[in-house]
Amino acid sequence: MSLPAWPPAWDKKIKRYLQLDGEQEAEKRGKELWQQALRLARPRTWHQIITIKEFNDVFKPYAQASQALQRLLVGCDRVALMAVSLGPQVEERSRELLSRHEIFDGFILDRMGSYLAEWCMSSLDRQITEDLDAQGLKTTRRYSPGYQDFSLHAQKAFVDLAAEASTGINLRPDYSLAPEKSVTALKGIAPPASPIKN
Amino acid sequence: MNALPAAQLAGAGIDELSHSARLKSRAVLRYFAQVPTDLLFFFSDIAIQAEAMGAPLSFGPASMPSVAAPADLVRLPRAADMPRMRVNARVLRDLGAEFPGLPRAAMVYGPFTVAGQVAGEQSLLRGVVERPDQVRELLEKSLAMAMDYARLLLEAGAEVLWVSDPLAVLLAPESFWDFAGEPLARLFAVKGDRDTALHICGDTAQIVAGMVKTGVGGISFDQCLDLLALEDQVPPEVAVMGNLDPVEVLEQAAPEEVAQTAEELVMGLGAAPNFALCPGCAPPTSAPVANMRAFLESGRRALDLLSPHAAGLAELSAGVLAGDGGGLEDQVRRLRADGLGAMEVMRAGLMRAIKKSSALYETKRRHLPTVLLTVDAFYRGYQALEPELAESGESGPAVALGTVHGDFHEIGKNLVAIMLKAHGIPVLDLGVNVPPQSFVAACREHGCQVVGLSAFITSARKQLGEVMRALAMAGLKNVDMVAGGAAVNQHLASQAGAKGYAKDAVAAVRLLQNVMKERA
Repeated sequence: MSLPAWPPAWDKKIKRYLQLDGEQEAEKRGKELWQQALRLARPRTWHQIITIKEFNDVFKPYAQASQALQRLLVGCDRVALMAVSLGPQVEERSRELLSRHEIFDGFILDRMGSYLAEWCMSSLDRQITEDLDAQGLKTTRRYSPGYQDFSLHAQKAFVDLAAEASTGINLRPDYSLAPEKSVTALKGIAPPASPIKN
Repeated sequence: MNALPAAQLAGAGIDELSHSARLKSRAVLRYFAQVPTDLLFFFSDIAIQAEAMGAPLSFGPASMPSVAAPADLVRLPRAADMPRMRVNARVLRDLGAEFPGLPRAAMVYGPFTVAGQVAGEQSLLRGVVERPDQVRELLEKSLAMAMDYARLLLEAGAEVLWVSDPLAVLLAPESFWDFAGEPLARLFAVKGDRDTALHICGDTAQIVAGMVKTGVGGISFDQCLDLLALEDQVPPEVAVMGNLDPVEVLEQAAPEEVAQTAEELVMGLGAAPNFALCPGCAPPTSAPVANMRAFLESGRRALDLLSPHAAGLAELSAGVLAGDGGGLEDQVRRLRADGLGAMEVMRAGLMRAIKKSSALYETKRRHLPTVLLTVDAFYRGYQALEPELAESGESGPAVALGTVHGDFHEIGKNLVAIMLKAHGIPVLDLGVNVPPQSFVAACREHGCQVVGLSAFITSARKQLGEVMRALAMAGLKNVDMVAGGAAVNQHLASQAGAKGYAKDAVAAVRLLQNVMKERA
């Protein structure tokens, strides 16, 4: 699925997120870095809708072990799996700058990478939700490995499913994602009449 | 600085001193002979005006006079008729005769504080809200007493009017001007020029503008405030005065530590043209005179060192603070060519800017990215000094820093390493995914006294306890551990036995500075 609104605008929201609002020199430098971040970013997205049975199989035993997730998925018969990645370029550039003691640029570029990855996930989530809404289906809020009692080890299932092929996402030994500027998430899908927790 | 420790030199109790011009003069003359300050600021007690207005006092041989109870009936006598006020006027004359040419300070307490002593502090503070007109009426009387006493001391030869108004810090900032600031402005008008000073105890950061508005010539700040964070709120024609801890440093530390702390203070603030070195609050009567001398001599030596280069240092510091890297290396070289030592350029120019930037961040006047602009500029200036500083021999790393085993996140940890180095704390960066034994090895092989652990993912939290256990097993129980990172909080850090927790890179600097200070 493509991201029609890409790239996001340089607006108040991003400036507030980066804590650059009202700081003249920092804001000027930040705006230049924003262009660099957009040039370096290679946003890729992936999503798949599977039945709740398939989900429980693929994410065994982590899905069952997470009471919070099980509560969220009550009434759902399907699950939308989502993954986005910006690619490694932004974080590689950030590390390079930090190693050269260009601290501001390295830090801000890293934060921009986080913002852009989250922006991509929000966009993907919005598109999927709108499609399902149009079909009269209900959806839960977004949920990711590492939230509450949903183990980070569940990232492996995301990567095994399709994320690696479609987005270039890999797992590190600590079960965090590589590239770092990647996000995985799921959301429950329920029939129109079903009461869901959101 | 207030000469309260002079009380030790009289050979008599404080109760006797407080009533005897002869004994008090003897004490302060001996004191200033040993502690040659630029301003002769003899000691007085906080209760002298309240006593004149009718409040009964307690006197004792080892404690300063204090108000025993509110006044039954408020009086407004002439200062010249009050024996203890006449004692202080006499001491001023004696000081003038002994030390001709040196300015003397008249010490007067502010109308709000005296009104609190006369009416009872709680009653006065409640009255500000419930009976403001009655409070104003009482303030007029305590102002009249203060003005009359100030005139008596000025006529006795005082060149500087110094007012302390400690109770004013308890006013809400929006009430400060009405109940303390405006009466103080009228009190300072008695002097008619800028040779005036104001001290209000405690955290006065919220009322600096009101203090400036009184028209005072200098503001003395307590040691709880970071002067770098608030110096910009004080206009250049008003002196920023302060601010060494009178108890922990001046009373309790050894003279060498006092000297070192005073020098450090001057290195941070000495380049500012309106800075005046003095203690924060009044040093206690029991502060060793040797400490007062160490403070004065060390501070003066550092100020003398910086003074000829103050303009260049201020320019360098301002450039770094603004994150303006252009020309910094040239400025550093110019200061060196003018004869200022590499370490002084580093401390009073570059480090000053870093410390100020961090102080502004901690007081919520600056965002973290702008602090990082300062760090960038610092490094550009530092490059010009690095060869010389390296030659002067840097000590081994004090802190072994790493992201814990099983966690590969490095940005936050890198930021902490950079900030620590910029603040002069040598760091051994062990990288990411660091097993407990590597922290142990760093302490053994490099002599690190502190380990700094970063944990970003929740599954890595348990490593905090693992590192602590590994250090204990290796017999390194004296090594302190601190922790930070997205997966850690104060509770988790304490639970694991950490000495402290830092929520970000700036907090990490403050935490490590405190830990190192404790260990020193």
